[in-house]
Amino acid sequence: MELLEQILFGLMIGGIYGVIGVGLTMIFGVMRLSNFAHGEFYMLGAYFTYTFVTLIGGDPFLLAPLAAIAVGAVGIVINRLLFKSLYEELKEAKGAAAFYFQDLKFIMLTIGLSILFVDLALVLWGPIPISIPSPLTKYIVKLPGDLSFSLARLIAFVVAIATLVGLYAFLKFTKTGRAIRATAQNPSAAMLVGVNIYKIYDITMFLSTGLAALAGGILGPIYNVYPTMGLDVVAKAFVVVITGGMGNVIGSILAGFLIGLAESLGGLFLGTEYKQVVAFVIMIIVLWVRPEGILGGGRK
Amino acid sequence: MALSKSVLIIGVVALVVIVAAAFYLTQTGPAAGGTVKVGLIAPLTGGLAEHGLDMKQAAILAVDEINKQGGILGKKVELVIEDTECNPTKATAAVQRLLTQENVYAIFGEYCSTVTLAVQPSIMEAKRLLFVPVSVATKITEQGYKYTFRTCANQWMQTTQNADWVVEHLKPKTAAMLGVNDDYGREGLKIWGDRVKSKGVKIVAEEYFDKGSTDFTSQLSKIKAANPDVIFVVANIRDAANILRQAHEIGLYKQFVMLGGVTSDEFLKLADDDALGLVHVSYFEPTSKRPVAAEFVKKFRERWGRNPAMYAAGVWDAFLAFKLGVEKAGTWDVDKVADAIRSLKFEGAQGTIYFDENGQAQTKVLLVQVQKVGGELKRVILYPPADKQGEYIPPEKLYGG
Repeated sequence: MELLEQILFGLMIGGIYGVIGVGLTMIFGVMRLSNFAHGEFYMLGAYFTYTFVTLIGGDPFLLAPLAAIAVGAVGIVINRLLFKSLYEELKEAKGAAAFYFQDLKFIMLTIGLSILFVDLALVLWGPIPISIPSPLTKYIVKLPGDLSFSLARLIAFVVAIATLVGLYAFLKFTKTGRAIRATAQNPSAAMLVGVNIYKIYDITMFLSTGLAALAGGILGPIYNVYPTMGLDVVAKAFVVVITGGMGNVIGSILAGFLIGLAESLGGLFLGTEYKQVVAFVIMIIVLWVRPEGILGGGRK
Repeated sequence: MALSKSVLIIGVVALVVIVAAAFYLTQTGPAAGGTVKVGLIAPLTGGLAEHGLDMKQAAILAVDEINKQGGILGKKVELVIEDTECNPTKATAAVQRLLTQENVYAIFGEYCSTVTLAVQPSIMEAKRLLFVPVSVATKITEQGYKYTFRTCANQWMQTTQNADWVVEHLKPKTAAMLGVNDDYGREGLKIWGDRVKSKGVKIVAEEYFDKGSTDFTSQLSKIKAANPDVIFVVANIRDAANILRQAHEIGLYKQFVMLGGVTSDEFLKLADDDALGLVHVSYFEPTSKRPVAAEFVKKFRERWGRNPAMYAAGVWDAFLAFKLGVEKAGTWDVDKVADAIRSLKFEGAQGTIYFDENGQAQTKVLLVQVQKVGGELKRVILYPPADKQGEYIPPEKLYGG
């Protein structure tokens, strides 16, 4: 029974890891950018949802998508203001060293953004943790065999799965999705066949930051909301991305579930003090035996 | 050419020495002039900023009050606040700045025990007073430092008093423990576990979680399977709120007991009805009827529009000890002041306070239970008898079955 409970909760958390990891891996695959500020978009999603709930009123689970769109717009603005000029500089650059330094610039820039957003949240919403009220967290679903969880958790899981399926369909079957995949494979070739890669970058930023924000918005009512909440998930998101293969969307989804499940079972069998270690051990083993990640990097 | 270069070098060196000497001369001799500077170190940004805020607000209020009453021995007190983010490296740099550039007479802080232990030696070497209003690590006041004073109960005091109350009043046969995986959590679980074990209680589960965790279902599910009579938890308010909510989510309705870290109105807001029935340690209750406490709460509310958490009370009492100590010594001589503080006995926000040889305040710890009073969540004092406000209600009565 304990095992079943652990598997159930592990999978539910895994779905959320998947949503956060997918956004991070997309940005890496398409834009070749390691976004260390990814967790802060998750945090902004939670705070935007909270702000909408207090301003408009209504259930956070209904307002979280709205918050995701708003944060996605912030993502586009950041792309236009900060990242675009770096990409234009990159176009002129020659040689491997230039690319290497370009990568460092992006890393520094996103770390800076991360600090900026955390401090901004501290100023705007204050240091005291907030809970987003939702009646759904109080409604407990009871299953036979003493298993129970809140309806909110179930909804978060369903939203996560629906989002992942929707994203997959979008990338696979729509024209824009194909253009995104083409840009991920080879930006210069994509440009040659008439893809406006800057527009693709805008869309990728929107999707990536929006997905992170959606995860923050639907988790906000279940856990609670505080300025450094993004820093607490970003390391896990990178583990998911690396384990799944950097830039591989399906890989990240699978890795999300794998790590969610492994943490739960690791906690059960090894002792909960090793729960956090389990995720990193899996990442190290994957890097060792299959450095490209469980499904290989970059493929869509 | 060679000559002019060496002249230049000598000139620069001489200039540096003169400036440094002049700076040193103007800076030594603590508290020259009409003001005395004191420093506060606290986590004002980062994951513990909500607690740093309590410390900062109480310190600002205390200094304003002291100055309003004419300062100490005729000197105005000036407060210098440094952010540590609960990071020992940052805190060490901040303390160096306070000691050398600001030349503070005393330092108040910190929140995190690891930080306090990291900065304590340099403050002691510089012969400045260190008032520890929040950090609870037992070791801080057990190293024989003359200039260290702690104005709150240490971890050992509050944890053993918690364990004793649990054994005496709840009479459990089995207990489970859950704590944050760091020195604070591990020390807490060890002290509590040893204490209840020595009184015949069996520990059936001992679980840990890492800092920054938000999901505790795997720990709670293991505890649920072990079916203990009582569950002892060491966590900050954010984690504690999540733990209680998730425990109820998976159908775990046993008696939870916690340390003083959760004593704040923000915690009750965060945990909401899931806090109902929780028993925890408190150093300070804003509902206290004692005049000194009531006056502190009134002033704090007037200034900041909210109730002070117990950390604020610890800081307030630290400033009281500082003021009374200097006034009793009648001089700024740090050795005489340290002796004077050791011989103090005064009424603080937390009750009657006096220090032992190690500078540890012998304060009384309260045990409170979160109950619904008139439809609102309140902390009701269960112990000690003198402060008692209500009776303990077991979780079966609160939650049914």
